[in-house]
Amino acid sequence: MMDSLSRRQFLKGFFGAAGLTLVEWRDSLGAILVTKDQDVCTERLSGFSPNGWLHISFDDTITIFCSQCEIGQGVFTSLPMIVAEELEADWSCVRVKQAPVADQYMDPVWKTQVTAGSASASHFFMPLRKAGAAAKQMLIAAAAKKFGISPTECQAFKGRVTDVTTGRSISYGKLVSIAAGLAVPADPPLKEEKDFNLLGTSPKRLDSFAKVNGSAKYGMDIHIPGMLYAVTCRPPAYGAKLIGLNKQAALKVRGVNKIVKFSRGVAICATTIQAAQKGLNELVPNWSKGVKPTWQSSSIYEILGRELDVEGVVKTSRGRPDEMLKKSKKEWHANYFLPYLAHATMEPMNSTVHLQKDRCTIWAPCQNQGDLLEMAVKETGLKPEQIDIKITFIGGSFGRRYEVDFVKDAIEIAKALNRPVKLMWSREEDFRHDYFRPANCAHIRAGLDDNGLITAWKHKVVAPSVYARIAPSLLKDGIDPSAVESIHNSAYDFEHLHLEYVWIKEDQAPVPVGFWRSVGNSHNCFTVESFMDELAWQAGRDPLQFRLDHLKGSPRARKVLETAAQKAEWPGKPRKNRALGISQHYLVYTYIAVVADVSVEPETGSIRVHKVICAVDCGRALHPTIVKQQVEGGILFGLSAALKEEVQFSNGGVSTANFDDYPILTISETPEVDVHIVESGEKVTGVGEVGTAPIAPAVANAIFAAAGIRLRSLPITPKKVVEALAQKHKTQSKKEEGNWFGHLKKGL
Amino acid sequence: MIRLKVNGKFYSYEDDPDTALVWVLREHFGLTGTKWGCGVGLCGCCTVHIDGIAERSCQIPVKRVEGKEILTIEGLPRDHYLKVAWLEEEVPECGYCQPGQIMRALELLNSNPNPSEEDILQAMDSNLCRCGTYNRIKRAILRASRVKT
Repeated sequence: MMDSLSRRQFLKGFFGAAGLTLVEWRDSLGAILVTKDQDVCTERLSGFSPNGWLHISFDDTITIFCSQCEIGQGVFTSLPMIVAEELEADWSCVRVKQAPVADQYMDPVWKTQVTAGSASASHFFMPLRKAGAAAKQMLIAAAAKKFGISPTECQAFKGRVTDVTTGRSISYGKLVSIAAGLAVPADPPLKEEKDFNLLGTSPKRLDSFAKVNGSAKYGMDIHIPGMLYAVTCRPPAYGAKLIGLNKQAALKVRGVNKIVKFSRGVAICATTIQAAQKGLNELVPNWSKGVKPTWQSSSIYEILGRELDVEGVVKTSRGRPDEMLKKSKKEWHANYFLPYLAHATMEPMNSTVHLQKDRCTIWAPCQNQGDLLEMAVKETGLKPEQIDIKITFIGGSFGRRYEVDFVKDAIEIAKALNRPVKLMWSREEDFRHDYFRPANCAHIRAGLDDNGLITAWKHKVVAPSVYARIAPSLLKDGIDPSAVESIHNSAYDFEHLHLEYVWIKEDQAPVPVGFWRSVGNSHNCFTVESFMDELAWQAGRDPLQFRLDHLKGSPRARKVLETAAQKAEWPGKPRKNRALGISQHYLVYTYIAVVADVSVEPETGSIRVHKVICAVDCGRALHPTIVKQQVEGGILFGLSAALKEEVQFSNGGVSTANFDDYPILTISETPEVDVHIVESGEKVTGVGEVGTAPIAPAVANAIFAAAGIRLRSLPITPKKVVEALAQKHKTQSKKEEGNWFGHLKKGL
Repeated sequence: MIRLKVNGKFYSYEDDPDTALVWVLREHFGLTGTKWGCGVGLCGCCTVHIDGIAERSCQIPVKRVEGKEILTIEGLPRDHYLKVAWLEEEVPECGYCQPGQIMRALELLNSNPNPSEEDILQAMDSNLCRCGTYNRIKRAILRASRVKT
């Protein structure tokens, strides 16, 4: 559908799925956008709108509709640039609007409207180019008609069409009346990529101004006249049931309107937020113990450790791994452990719902419009066209707002009310009712041959499954694809590889898990890249060269590694308690390598990351500044987790409550981050998640180089460092000694 | 009734005097540029100025600020040097923490027009950002201090 654009489909798209947003055609002058809800009637757009992606007004203003949600990743700028490039628009005349939820705006690969998987730029690159190119072709035809010449004598540039013979020109706005009467070309010619003049540059982000002056409207900022505020209490332990509560005391609070039980808790609805919070304090709910009252922080590690001995389901077994291991000159193995992690978006979960008899309006900071609509249809019993979803600016997501649970809560509460309701989670609820990044452990065993090259690689992943809840149909043979991703399909050319997975089920670990920036890559890059480093040391080889030797089939991976290493002046000068660590990764078709410059303070165990140098190849950088922002942010998100983050549990539930017991990276702990873009000219690929995965192993590898201790469990806290140093002193053997310059000197 | 002076304008508030200032600004006066993040003064999203001092508005009952000068992100002029610096350095990603960051940075530059990098890290250390814009925040403050001095 995305590939052949037509006006008829545009109309169908709007009428068919979104329902409340209609496009009416007025004679030949184009479209007006209206909504059935007159209170929030959108502005009129009169002019030219050949497809659902753009609209040109008489005054030359170009409005580009963005199907994707602006979560901070810059789609409100990068996607309009794709349209504007082919349209030959004057960028200063372009503005962006959030597109409604409609079939028209589905992801062409995933067939649902969703912003996820670092996919926006790559999946929409061609459809948006075609949208812009179709409009440009029509504008050229309109100008040719007006000038009485052939379209081949016309050229479009910067919002004007010029008669190349005489030099006379006319702006797009003056052509909309004629253009609107022309047929929409199904397969317009596209520009040669070498002729791009907007893509590849970094104009100012279109959303920045609203974000620095405070006018950007997030979900939390929605205010509907007459609305109630809802705050909630939820079970403190997994599976706990409500036994009793002091309803009367809460209802006595002035302003409290209603107490509503919903499937996941109890809501206090009041005319002000302060009344709702006071009412909540009076509620004193009593809960049953829950399904696993003894569940605590250590519980998951006991399970993971036990299950490491269990035989898993084989995801991949290629070559002759067992035979090759036996033939190896040397064998090495290690276990790694990673914790549950929270998303901790700065904007807590919230949603506003106005449910009426025959319609429902939803304001939500949510990245998953498709599932949101489906859920709303199910919850309200209304038809899709009776549901109007308004996606707001989103105060961080990192995968959390792929879930639609917080909107479902609001709809359930709205059903008990006859007025709009704004549901706001507290920060404590936001932590305690998150869908966490699963905890995880891995066992890896590999062999080295006489030349210090890997003979075979055997890898077992033990982890709860994200897909078991989100997409059970993708759990083939009991293997969660995200739990094992980027191991069997990494950039390394491992000929003899065995990969298996042990699924920790919900009856073993009651903690709900979900997508977290980079998903399974966040585990598997840590374990693979840490172990690659261990093998390099075991082989007495330079960790950079050791990696390059196993990337013969991947020139792009080699190139980013070489670039990062060169920019970081790898291997760096020998310094006391300070060294460089390296890692590389391949994620959603993007290649990345990072070098971390880290020092270890042996007395306190504190870790200081001074600088991170990164090289990234995402094919073509559509907006280099946004690419850098995303990679910088991804690296710091991963660094925060590597050094500080771990969700705590007690009494069968989450005990982590706020930023004091879930500290995240602060500005004083932030290293300088240098991102170097390697332009390979290959297909455009995503950058939202790729930075997050490789930083933890780069830091762990640097710590080993600096202090001779191998940290195999995250987060790398000062306590773990001090313990590892004490252990090292106890069992110090020359072989395991730290600095690899020493190894080189000794000729190992 | 409590009379409040916000961004040079007078507002009156007639509800519970113990209500946190952040809710009065946001939900009663519609000044939603000041964000709510954690409710316990740990994240800095709700930072506003009270008589020139950057404070966590989620920790301040509205009754305590009667008669004081309150400044929020909406009170900064369109071309304020800090906003310009933030745009020049392309600081915001999701943007949710940025009004609080800017208000904190404003206090720093008001008291220390020429801060060292260390001064910046110290002043900004309890304003959290989950998108990882810290290096850009630092550069924007340095840029702003150059413009100002």
